[in-house]
Amino acid sequence: MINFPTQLISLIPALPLVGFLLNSAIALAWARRRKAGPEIIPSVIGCLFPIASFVLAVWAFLTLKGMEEGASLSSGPLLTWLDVPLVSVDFAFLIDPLSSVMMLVVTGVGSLIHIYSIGYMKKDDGFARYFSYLNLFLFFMLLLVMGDNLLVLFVGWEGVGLCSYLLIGFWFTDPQKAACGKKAFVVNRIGDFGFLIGLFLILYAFGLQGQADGDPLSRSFFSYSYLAANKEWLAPLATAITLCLFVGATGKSAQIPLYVWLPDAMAGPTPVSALIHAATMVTAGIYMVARLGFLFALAPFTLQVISCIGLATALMAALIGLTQFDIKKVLAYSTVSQLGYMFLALGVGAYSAAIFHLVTHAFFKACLFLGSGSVIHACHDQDIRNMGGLFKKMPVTATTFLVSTLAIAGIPPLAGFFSKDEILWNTFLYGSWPFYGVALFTAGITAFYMFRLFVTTFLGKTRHPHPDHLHESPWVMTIPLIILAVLAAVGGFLGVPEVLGGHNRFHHWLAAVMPPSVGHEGNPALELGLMGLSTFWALVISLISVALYRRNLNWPAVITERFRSVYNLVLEKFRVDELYDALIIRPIRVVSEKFLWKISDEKLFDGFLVHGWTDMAGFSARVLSRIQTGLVGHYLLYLWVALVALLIFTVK
Amino acid sequence: MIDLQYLISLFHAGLPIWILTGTGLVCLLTDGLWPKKGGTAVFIVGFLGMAVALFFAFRQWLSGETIAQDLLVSDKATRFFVILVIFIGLLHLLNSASYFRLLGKVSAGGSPAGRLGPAGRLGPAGDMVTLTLFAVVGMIFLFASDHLIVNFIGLETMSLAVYVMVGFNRRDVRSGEAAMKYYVMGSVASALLLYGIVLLYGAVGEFRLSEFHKVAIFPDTAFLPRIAVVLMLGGFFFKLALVPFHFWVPDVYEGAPTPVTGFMATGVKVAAFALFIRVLTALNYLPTAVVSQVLQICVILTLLVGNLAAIVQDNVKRMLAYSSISHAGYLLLGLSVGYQSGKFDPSVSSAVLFYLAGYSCMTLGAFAVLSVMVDEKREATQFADLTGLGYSRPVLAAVFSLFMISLLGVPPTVGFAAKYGIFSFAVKNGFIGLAVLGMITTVISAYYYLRPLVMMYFCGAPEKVKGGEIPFPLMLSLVFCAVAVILLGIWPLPYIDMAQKAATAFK
Amino acid sequence: MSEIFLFYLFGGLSVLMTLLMIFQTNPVASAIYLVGAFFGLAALYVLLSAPFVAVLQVLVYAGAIMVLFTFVIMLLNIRKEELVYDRVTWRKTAVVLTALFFAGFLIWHFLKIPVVPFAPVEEGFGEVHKVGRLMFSKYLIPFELTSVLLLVAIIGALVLGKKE
Repeated sequence: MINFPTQLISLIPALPLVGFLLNSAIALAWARRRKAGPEIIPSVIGCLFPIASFVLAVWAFLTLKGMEEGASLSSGPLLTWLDVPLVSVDFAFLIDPLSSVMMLVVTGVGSLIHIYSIGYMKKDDGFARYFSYLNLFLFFMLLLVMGDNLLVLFVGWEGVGLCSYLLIGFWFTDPQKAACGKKAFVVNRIGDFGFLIGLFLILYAFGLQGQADGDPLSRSFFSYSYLAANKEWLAPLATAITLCLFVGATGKSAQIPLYVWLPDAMAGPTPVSALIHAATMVTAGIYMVARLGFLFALAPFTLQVISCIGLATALMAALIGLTQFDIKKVLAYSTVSQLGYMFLALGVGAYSAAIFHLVTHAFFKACLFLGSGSVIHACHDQDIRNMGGLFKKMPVTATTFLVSTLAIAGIPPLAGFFSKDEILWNTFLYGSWPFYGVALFTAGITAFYMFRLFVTTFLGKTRHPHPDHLHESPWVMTIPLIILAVLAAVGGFLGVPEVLGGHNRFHHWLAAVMPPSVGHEGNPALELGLMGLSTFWALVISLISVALYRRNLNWPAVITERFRSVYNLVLEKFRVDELYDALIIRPIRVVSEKFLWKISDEKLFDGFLVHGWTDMAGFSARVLSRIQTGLVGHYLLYLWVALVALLIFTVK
Repeated sequence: MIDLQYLISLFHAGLPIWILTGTGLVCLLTDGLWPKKGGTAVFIVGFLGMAVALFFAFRQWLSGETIAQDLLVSDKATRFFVILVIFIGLLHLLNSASYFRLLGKVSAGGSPAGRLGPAGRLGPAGDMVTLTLFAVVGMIFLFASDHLIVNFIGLETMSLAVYVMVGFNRRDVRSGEAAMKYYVMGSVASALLLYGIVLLYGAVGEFRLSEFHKVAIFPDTAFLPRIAVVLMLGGFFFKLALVPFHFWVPDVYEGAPTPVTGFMATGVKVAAFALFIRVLTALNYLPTAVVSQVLQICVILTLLVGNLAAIVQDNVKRMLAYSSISHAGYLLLGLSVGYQSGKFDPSVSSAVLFYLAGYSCMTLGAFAVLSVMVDEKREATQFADLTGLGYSRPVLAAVFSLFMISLLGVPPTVGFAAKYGIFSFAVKNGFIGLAVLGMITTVISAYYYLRPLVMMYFCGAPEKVKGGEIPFPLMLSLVFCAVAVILLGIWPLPYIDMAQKAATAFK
Repeated sequence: MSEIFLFYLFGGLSVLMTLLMIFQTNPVASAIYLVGAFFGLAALYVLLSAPFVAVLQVLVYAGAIMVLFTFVIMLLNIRKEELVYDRVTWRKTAVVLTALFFAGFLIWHFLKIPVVPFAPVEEGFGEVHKVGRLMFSKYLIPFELTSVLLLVAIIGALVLGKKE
């Protein structure tokens, strides 16, 4: 095989950018004509470029695989972005094992979702606009995972945030949907603020070392290789830096306390939820923490915080997921919960387990979201109470949905089992019994609400008002579903643990770029035992759930009635939005209105500082314009006076 | 007896100039031979000629070798400025072509098509093209020589062409008035400069700036160069529109046809600054210690007066006139901080060079936008005319906002990068006071730069929708300026590098 | 010393003529005084060993250009009533005073320059042959540039002057 030429690296992100440019040109042309043209053009453009990127990414991956361990492909500095005495930043791409995995997920799942969108977005007014945003998103996401320094990552980070905002509010004529986009944007800004402070702290830490001069290479503080090579300089500030960066991650990856935007992000088109809010963008925080694993390893306190927050998010989101009736909301909370799992894995030092779960999660969650999109496409409704019995109407969708549900529930040998079990095992090794217990419990809840969702949607009698209208989706939508379902089924074999006779290839692939897990060596027998326990637990809960909802027994309702207040609390999502409203938004409003606006702004700044100064400036300006008579004679006189004054001053 | 070798090397050294001059003559002929369609043909010829000249100027820049030629300097600095003024000339051609087309179209609506030409034609812009070409030639000679007499003739060529361009709108009384004012005041300034040059020659016996380091000043004539320098400074300050020699600026800028105002605010200023840096460098060899103080006083006055007076203007062009005064102040600030113990260090001029390039882009862009603001046979450039522009012409309003925030100096535009360069030199060389003053006046300038934005976006819809397309040439120049403003803002390194290379040529 | 004497004589003559030109209310008379000033200047050129320039000064300026001026004045046919008579105001007084001050200041400084005898000039200096040779060799660029300058002036006059 021919090795991947490094000159082509920049082509991988550039192709979706080209797609974006072409599609936005088409979108503009359509908007100007006030009439949409044939949808085939934007869909071909929109899909071809991501697929081409995917092919290149596969090629790069194979090349990387053929090289010795620890090798990487680097584009070299494409251009010097900044070169000031303070810092030097190159615009460069890097493909190492970690980013190659991310690239494959982003371009692979991304391409499938692009294809799926052709069917889903059919006859939408914003067809070309949709594809241009989606391509732009892929470009920024690739920038994020391929950049060889934190600043390029940050550009991608902000770019995907922008695309997320644009796509959540894609149907912006609906004010509620536009408001959801705004919420996502604002909450993400809070996280980004932390991220930025983290970046500045890194600069500050290196600045303390007096590395301000010399050649640009010794000032490229943000590049990963530099950070890794000089991490001991960051040690004094490591906790602060990593905490700030983690704040950024909680925003982007929807963790407590900044997870509130993700459920609302479901206002966007469903493929967008699949691509951005399940498979790729929301995992950016995990990628970032894993990428800077060497830095986080220096800050044990941050790791503890991460594991606590990850666990709490996983549990809380799973509980909320139990009570939701909107098919996409259930999946959204499930995503939040699974992301919590990944952070738990990062927190206990199992970086490769986190990335493994990220990959398998991308497969089955994308499949679930696309399946739900297929259902919504058929039903024109999102409430699972109005569905049921769709299995016969939509066999492909239902089967793929079932496979993914089994995968996320952790039933062996599907993908979710292997990745989730690796997280559980590492949590156990980490030596914290309560953590393990809660994580296992959460896995059970996950199985429960996922089967609740599956059973209510696909089994039983149909409760849809127009059952005759229901139909299977077209092949452009079902083929991506089938591919993803296959991946969700077999994806786990990438990382079969040693104890089951596998080689855990995934772990070894990432080992070169990841710090080793901090846990102790475990007992193989114990590992097998725990594996059995969690399998058993997931199976039992799944069966209970199926039994409960399949037979339409009354006792979900009975339980609900018994624990009315608790149920309501969970149903209302623990009232976190209201809590934020009462604790943060309202006080800020009051302070803003009563103090900042009425007193500080109107009286102090407007009244005194602004108007005072402008009055003065205005006065002097009027004096100046009085001199400006418009008569040449006067002007010559002024010139003359100025000249004589200058002369006297100079010559004396 | 004329040395052929000399002529050939002269030809190579000044190739862009000869192309421009030749194109000017061809334009004149074209205009005369096809008077009916003259406008368009002349415009195309002029544009192509300038583009070719630009190409050769770039080639000269890249070739790197310095061709030392009698009376014609062709070093890196000169080439930098040649490229810059040709760019300005090109953009001016695009702007003015569209402006006169619009004015012609509008005129043709009510009255019988006058000399402004039938709709869709470029009207009498044929002469405008020729004058622009010769003005650019004048500008190049203004700085592309170290011989003060050549500089002076260049200045006069440029000035004469610009006087006429100012009075080009013969239907508009204000245009004629502005031309007359500019002519009278400009003649006085030229006289000052010439008198200064002559006195300097009397004192040092040398016209060549590059030979100044060889001359010896007799103690009993030491006051002569001082008087000469004051007179020359007066002339320069006039051309650079610095306080207190700025009184003509608002009136002339307001009265001149809009694209011409843009040309004056950029081209004339760039060329004058180029020579000014050369002269300041040469003056190091003369006992003129007070020059730096004069410059500092002038900076302070210019920044205060320029920024304060801009606040109370009702006309956008007049506001931009004061804005260009204040920008000249920032540029002069960049030069005045080059004085260390009485000697001018030309290496600081790299920041000024970059500032000039950025300033030209954003100013030309702003005037390009105003060039489209034509309504019922007259320019509609009052602040009130901007009302609701953000809704009736969103693209125009968006790029205008971009140029305004760039003029203000907000990142990520070039205005920020340029001001940052100037102020960082000021701080580095210990001129903290001037840097602080510059920053304060920048804050003041926010008031008048943001006012158009308020008018365009927050002051309701316009009384009548003045839609209408943007002519293609103008679109071209708008896009170029906007891209340049952003590109130089987010990735200024290569251009700062260019400016640094150019600045090293001053010594 | 006779050179110095002649210099002051003709220099003074030029200044006087120029002042008279400015203070005349009759444009034709002004033009005539300007011719006088040009003659004074021509004499100064002769003193500076530049006879060719002196001849040109008389031929071109005092001759051709002044004739043109006079024609224009006559064509315009300005009547006396149309000429605005100025009154003396404090502003004008101030200008005149500063001008006088400035002039005095300069004169005071210039008088301090020691008088040195004129250096002898080389053979043929200032003659047509020499000047022409210089113009087409050493000063080729300014010479050609001047022609561009004149061309611009012509175009300008046409643009501003031709009928609408």
